[in-house]
Amino acid sequence: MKFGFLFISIRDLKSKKLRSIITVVGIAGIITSYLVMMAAANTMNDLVEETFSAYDYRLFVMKRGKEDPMVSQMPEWYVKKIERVVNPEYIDGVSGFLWWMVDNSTSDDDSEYLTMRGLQVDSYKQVIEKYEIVAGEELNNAQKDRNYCMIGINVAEKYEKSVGDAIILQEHAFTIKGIFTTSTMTDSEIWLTIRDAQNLVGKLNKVSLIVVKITDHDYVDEVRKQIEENIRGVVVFEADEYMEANAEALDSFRGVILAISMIALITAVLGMMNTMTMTLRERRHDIAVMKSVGVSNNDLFVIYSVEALLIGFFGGIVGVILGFFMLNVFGVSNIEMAGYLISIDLTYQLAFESVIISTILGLIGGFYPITKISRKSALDLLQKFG
Amino acid sequence: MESMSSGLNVIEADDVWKVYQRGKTDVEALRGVSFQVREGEILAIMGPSGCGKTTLLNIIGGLDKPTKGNIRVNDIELSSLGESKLTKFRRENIGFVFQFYNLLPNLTALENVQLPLIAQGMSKKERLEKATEFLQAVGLSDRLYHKPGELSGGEQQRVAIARAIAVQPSIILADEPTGDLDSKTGEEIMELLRHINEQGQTIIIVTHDDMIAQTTDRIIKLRDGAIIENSGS
Repeated sequence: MKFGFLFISIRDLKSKKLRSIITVVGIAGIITSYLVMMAAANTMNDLVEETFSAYDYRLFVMKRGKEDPMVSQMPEWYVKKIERVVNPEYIDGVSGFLWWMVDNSTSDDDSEYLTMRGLQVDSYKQVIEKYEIVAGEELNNAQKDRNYCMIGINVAEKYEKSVGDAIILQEHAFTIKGIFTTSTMTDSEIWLTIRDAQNLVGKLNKVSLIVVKITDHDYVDEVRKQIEENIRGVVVFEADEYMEANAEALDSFRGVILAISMIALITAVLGMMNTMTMTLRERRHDIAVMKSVGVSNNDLFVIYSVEALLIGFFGGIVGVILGFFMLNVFGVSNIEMAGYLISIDLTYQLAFESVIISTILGLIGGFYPITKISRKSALDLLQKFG
Repeated sequence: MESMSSGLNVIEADDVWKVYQRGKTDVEALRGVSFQVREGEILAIMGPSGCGKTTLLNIIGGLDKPTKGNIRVNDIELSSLGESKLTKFRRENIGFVFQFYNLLPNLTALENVQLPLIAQGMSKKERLEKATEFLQAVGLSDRLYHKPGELSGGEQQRVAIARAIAVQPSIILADEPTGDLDSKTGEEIMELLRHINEQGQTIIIVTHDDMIAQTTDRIIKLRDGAIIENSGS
């Protein structure tokens, strides 16, 4: 390998500026989409893990066969029954919640859904994940706090709401009493009293999830047994188990994103292959001349691989910059998914990986045309040129 | 013309055949060509178009292989060498000068001349010095940083000659080196080649031009792939 030849790679790139730039931009576009999709998938994954890790020492009770808080429905009196049937030594608290997607739109044209959680005001603090009030107060009175709500910090930022403002849910106005943060997906929720929540979505005396806080992990099996034996048609999960049960959905989501990313990356390789084929076809004459003066196949391979590598590398750099602008400057970073506002994080690691992937793509895309042409004899190349 | 020939054979062609396949037809480009070239000789190969001149030159230079027969250059039997060994052979033994110069258009004159020196693994400082020295030797000291497109035909051919002699090969193969030049520039190029020959390098020139051929030590005439005349001028 003679490094002295590397200036030829740079010269060749410069001589076809427009083509080089178009190829770099093409790869950059694909790397940007890859970056944003992977960032979304990673953020989603991290958020779900963080959200569920906040539920340590909690058991989730849901309707058997409908193990999703957005779907599950149980009578509210199950909460009292659980308190009765479970040994009080094993538990620190029991509370029922009603999750639902509610319409936040002010007209038919701007339909927007938010995740609402109805709280049993007198018991939710015993079982709910850690949260911090950043403004105002908590809901603490089932009657006085009717028509009031607490909103997560993501909701406050998105809708530019502060304490005392009203927020419209299903055409009903609720006054914001407090703003909370959990640093998890919960920051995208709106909390109401259970009664307001039930009235709002027409699920009177219903809860969708009952959370039981246990005093020790050793009691999980016993508490589960006591609940499932005494209340028919319910199922009890630990947070980890619930996450595992839902991992398939999360994996499917990541799988779809990965599949789309792979298609994008394959497109980049094919584009690169096409560019290098065209470039090398035009440079057959140069390659023949270099061969005739004694430049080896290995050196030719390196010269043109470096060219492909540089295109891939710069494509990656531009792609990361574009991705950063898309996410941070143009505000694409805040996406809404299943009623949650998710803020996509572009990590240094993902940016670095994207540049590496782009560089490797450049090399892969260039490999076949470079190998093919560098193996041709000088005479073949000269004659084809002539 | 004073010859620098030493009497040692640097090229020995023995019953060299080259048969190309064009569709279903065999085309005999060379038919049993045998000859020797002495060290330091300047030799012209002449003949009508399609008689096999360039094919013969390509075989001597290791760009092509004979279908049958033996070709020894500097005691190396070329017909048995693989592609990578032929590349090494060219790098160490042969300098090519083509009719249309065959310079790399994106590189300056200095960079074009450096190509074979880089291929030999020479250090940057050394190859810069050498390339500059050879471009000065061909009268282009004021054109070092010009690209081929900024040079006249004669100047481009001088760069090609500087590139060919840069690694000081024992043999220079020139395929119609004046074919694309006006007569005055052609004469200057021939003068340059003769000057190089005087330094002891063997030169084989393929040409149509009798005037050029007459200035060489020997003329080999080909017709239909066979030697019809092999005589000193």
